[in-house]
Amino acid sequence: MISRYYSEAVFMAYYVTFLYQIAVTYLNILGTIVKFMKRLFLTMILGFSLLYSQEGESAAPAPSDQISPFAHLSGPEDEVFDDGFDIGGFEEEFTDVAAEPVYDPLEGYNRWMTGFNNILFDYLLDPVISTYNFILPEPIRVCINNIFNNLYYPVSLVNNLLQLKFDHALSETGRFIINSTFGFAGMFDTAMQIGVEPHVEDFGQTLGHYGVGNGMPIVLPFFGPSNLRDITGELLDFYVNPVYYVEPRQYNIPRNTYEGWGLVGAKHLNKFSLYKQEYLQIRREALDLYPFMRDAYEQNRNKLISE
Amino acid sequence: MKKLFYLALISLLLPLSAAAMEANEIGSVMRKKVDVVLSILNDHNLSKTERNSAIETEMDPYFDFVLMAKLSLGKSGWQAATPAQRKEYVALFERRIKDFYMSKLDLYKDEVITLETPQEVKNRIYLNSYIVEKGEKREVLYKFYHAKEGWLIYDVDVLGVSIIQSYRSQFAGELENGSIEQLLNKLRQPQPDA
Repeated sequence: MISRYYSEAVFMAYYVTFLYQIAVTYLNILGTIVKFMKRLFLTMILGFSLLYSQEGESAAPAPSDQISPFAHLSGPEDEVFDDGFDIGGFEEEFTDVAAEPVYDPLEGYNRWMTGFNNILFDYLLDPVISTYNFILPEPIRVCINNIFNNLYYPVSLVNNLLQLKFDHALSETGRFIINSTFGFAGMFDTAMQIGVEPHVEDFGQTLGHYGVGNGMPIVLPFFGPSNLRDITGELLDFYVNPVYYVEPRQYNIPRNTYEGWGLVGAKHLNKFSLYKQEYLQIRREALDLYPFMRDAYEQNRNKLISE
Repeated sequence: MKKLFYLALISLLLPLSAAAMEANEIGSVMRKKVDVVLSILNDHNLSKTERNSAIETEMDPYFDFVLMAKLSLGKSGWQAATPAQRKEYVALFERRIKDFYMSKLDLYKDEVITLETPQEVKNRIYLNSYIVEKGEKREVLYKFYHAKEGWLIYDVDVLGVSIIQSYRSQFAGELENGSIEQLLNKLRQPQPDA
């Protein structure tokens, strides 16, 4: 009799310890997040003041101008053609680069670094990635990418909360739980398959959300186009992302700075290996690669910020 | 022989007249067209050139390449060009943007393409579509404006990056440093194959 109760008690004890350990891990993650929230409280206040100062300025929607049809199929040499710009209201839709040049004080360096990255790609990354792709088939690389995406959850949670997007913070939490369990430690995006879509946010987007401009474009070695705001955001991300090593934390994956950079390198190399063809296409297509990459980066970021 | 020639000419013109699309048809027509293009892509008997020309005839009537070319060059650039230059520029631009689109299709595997309901934004209609590719959702937005013949595409946003805006910035950069003739020279260079 006693022995039976004894084994049950031992089992219960193990079970409770197990649950306790999980709870401690989660509390550690939460503790770090709370610490961050304190650190970034000032940023938030700043953001709010920006937000409210902007609310008054929101312009009234312009009266929708009628498009009068113009003979656009009659041939490019047609006289009517000059009108197309003003009548359709197309000129306002796109920014006029000649009239308002992009603020790019580091253009010389940026162009040089874009060229450097190309050489780096041709002579270092391309052979490495070709070998890597040969060893690992694409589905496995997609799984690795999914694992890294899943580990991005703390960053995404903090930033959704900072932007007061509580519904997205909740759905991101749901995605993390579903993908960490049913998705085999994040290898598969099970949550997306059942319709819980990602709402990834980073610090760069949070800063942008509260009205911080891009600063100036900066091209980074290896990582490519970025800007002052997003680099600042990325530095803040280091503190929350479990893939980086900044200080000893309970939920760190790397054990020291070298392992941290190794993991970051692996993450980006793996991701880049998936999109190598796209990069090559853009490089072939562009008349002038640097402004093309810069504009594409800014437009993509603006879309992500507005979402 | 002459009859045959006219017949060919008429059959070439037919898709143009059939293309006129009303605002409420955009969703259904584009869905149909996307499915046709996918079936062409899945037809492995076709060579690459046959495939590309088949897709071109399907999709051409829905794009306003002339307007796209004009917007990419910008108002001042367009007005500075001579009629002959304009004509050549439009032809070169159309070829380039088509080649770009076709090269994107080379990367297509068998992902599902989802089209959302078209949204009216001011006097434009935006049709958002996405595919889930390599575990990530990629959005492509087709922008329509109301032309004489119906609604036509004048810009495409890939992941929030407007194709026209990208060309605009690049062309403006070229025109800043050189003449329109230099830009045409750059466009005349054939694109290296993948």
